[in-house]
Amino acid sequence: MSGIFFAFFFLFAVLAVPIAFSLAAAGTVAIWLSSSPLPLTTIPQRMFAAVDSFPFLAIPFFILVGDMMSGSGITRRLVDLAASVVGAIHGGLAIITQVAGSMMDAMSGSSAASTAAMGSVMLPEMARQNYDKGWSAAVVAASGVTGVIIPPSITAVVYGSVAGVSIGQLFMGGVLPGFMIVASMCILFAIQAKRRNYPKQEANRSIKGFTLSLRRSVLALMIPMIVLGGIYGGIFTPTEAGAVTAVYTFIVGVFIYRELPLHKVWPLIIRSAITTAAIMLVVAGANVLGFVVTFERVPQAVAGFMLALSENPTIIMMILMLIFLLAGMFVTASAAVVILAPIVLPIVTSLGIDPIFFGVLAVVNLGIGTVTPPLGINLFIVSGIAKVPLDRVLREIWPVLAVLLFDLLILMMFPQIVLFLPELMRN
Amino acid sequence: MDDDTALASYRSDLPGPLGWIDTGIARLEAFLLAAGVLLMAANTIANVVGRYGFGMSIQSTEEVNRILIILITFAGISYAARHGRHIRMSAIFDMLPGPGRKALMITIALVTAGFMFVLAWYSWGYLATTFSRGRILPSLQIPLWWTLVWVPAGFFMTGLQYTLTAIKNLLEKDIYLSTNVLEGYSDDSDQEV
Repeated sequence: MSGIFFAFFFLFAVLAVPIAFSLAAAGTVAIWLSSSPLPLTTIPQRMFAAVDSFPFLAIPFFILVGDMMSGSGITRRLVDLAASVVGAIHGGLAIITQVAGSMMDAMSGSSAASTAAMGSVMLPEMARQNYDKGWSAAVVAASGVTGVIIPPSITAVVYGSVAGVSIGQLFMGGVLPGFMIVASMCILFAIQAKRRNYPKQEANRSIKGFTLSLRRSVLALMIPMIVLGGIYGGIFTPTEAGAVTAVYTFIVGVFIYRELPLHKVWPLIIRSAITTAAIMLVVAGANVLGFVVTFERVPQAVAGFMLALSENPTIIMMILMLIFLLAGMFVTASAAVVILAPIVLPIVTSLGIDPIFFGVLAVVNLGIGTVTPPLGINLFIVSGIAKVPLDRVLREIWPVLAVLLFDLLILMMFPQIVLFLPELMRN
Repeated sequence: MDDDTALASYRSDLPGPLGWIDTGIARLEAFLLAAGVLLMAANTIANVVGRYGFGMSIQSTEEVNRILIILITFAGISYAARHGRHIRMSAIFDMLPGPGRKALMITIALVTAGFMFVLAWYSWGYLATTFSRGRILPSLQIPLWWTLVWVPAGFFMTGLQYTLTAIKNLLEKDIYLSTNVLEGYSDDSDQEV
């Protein structure tokens, strides 16, 4: 039955049938064609059961926060703050993009949302300063990688729900890897910009200039503090942190910054609800997959096959990381997690690998997948916003990819980078 | 009109009474989606305020939120279909020439519509089974089947949307992702998470 399922799923998915429907349809066909005693009412029942789950309740709020931020002047303020700190470096705009992008990532929870927001603000600015268009697009694409890594991450919420591990610990596990990636991107772009002789920013680097920028963006910077402080301090559940942050962002955008008109809020709420529905439907469809593979004992078979290849946890981890990296190229991070996690988690636990460590590394891989040619979603987003052919972006993305894979290797070799904060939280 | 406003103020281009019905359903779905998110937020915030302000939590918060996320998901399926917002893997589709994309879009729409109607039928069966068992939610003390009503309704409405998309593609020379959304690269990436 699982063979039929995967054959039909790939057929439907490759033919551009929406992922969620591909999963549900493949499940229907697999049960119908097999000699399985299962009734077809199992399909909607599994889909309903997936949606009716407490941990997923955080998703609409983090999506809404991201949507409201992009319409409320927060992005611009973060860019100004980053400029006052790192602007006076060669190719300062690229560094600003990374720093401001990481701040955006710490608020929106989504790689694509962060990339689109940074692209719409930074690409016109880079064009004005005669930066190469392909390079500028690659810089912006790279700034979105940490969108799924730095908390609050929607993908981490999904992984935590599927794997049954603490979402708070996953959030904390993403902090140091996220900032390590941002730092490595800054170093790469600073070196490239110096070689290309791109200008330094005319940034106001006085204490007064920095203080002014900080004062203008301090309310925006409170957002990640509310989320992480609230969860880490045991004040909120992730869902409550999301709701409080959404209300806070609304108040800041509408009443304090006054850059988000009230009449725009209703459409933004509808937009975030549609995005939620699209993600939750993938989760629902993937629960059908989870049911089919569990019923057929596929995870055990895959685990047996992989352990027959090698019993070395490092080699197994590398194979699993490659699988997640490839998945990140083809489907969204959340979809990849719900499809792959039920299959690979038994392997992870049988090898004694910490599920938090594995979860963070899986999410990092999915982040890297968003800028991996030829199908990484961030590449398409920046290509569209910058109005530059995809091949020009691809030419500039290879050094970014090399540095990201080096970062991944470091994280695999030194698990404490990931586990330091979660272990503090456990204690 | 910007993208977000278009989401909120859908107007059908189907002829006559069909158009009115389609627009009415779209407005209802949009209202339910937005109200669902707002109620979830209000309910969650009320629970936090109750816990820290008055030292008592609202017992049914989680149940209410779970009902609302089911509503958002299954009312949102057809609304997302209406606006061409479902997450898909379109690399091969994008590489095809115009006529190939057109033929594939019609096939996708018809296949998806077929499966949506099948799922609507079987989820109706699941709803009937749940109804016959008489289970109730522990906190709210309401029948469990009430929370399931949107499942068959959502699948059925989505099936209709994809059927209309197939018809639209058969009648028009352009390629439509939904009855109102023309195919074409968009950098609006909000559903990619």
